[in-house]
Amino acid sequence: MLIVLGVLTAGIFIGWLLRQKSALEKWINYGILGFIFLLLFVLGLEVGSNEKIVSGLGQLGWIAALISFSAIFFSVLLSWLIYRLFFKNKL
Amino acid sequence: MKISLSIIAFFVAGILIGSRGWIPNFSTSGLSAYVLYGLMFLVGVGMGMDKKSFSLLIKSSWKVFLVPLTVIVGSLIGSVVVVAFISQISYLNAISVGAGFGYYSLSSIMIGAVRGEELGTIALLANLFREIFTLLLAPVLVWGFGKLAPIVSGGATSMDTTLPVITHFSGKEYAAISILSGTVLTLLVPIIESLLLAL
Repeated sequence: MLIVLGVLTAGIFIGWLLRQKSALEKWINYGILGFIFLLLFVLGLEVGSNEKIVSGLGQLGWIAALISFSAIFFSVLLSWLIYRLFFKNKL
Repeated sequence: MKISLSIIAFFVAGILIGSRGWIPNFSTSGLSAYVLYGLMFLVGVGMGMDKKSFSLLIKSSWKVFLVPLTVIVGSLIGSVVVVAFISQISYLNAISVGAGFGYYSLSSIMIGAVRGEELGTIALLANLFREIFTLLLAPVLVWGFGKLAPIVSGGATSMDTTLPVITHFSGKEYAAISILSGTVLTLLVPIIESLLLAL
């Protein structure tokens, strides 16, 4: 996965070099969206062709919901503290 | 929202086609790694070309950066707490899922390519729930926990898909904070995930 970080860094550098060519930005965004569609379709194919995952999709959903809810809950709880201390009536 | 629906449609279409058994023992672990590199490269180019995000980050007061920090710390604590109650997932895997901060397309792809499609699916669902939850419950969050609550609930999505509801219920003066927090998290997801997945 460190390769990914390297590729990302190379991309940032090349993007920085190309920063004046703003017409390109639209195409980059289309490209990203196309890659995301393709990769999620492939992820779906892998999930669908794996019987173990299809039959366990309900359980995976429960684990996902628990992590999601718990991450939101603690983020929101902390934000309440930050809000009271630094933002409320001070913005 | 239209884009979110299209993304889900592609994933569901993949599941349906895959479960028909037309493609026996489909595995693309080799291929998807290379496609992932292509995606990450383009994400990087987009980050490098993006002048608006960086000037927004430079101009903001330090206080505003507490908001994305809250999301990072809160999501980390939340993910760890879940593992204390269920045995089906390891601490590292739960943290990797939580560190998607709602950026479900990228986090599920990265996690799926490295840790397998099972965890990739959990990452997709968990981070998608984050967006749906925020869209549905933004007014309740503001009422119960203050005006920053829907921003941190939305995580990385607070810069685009959940921004309209946040602006509506927290007020226009919170729009800039929402965009900044979402931007910081969106920039951090590929970096944090690649570090976590290298462990």
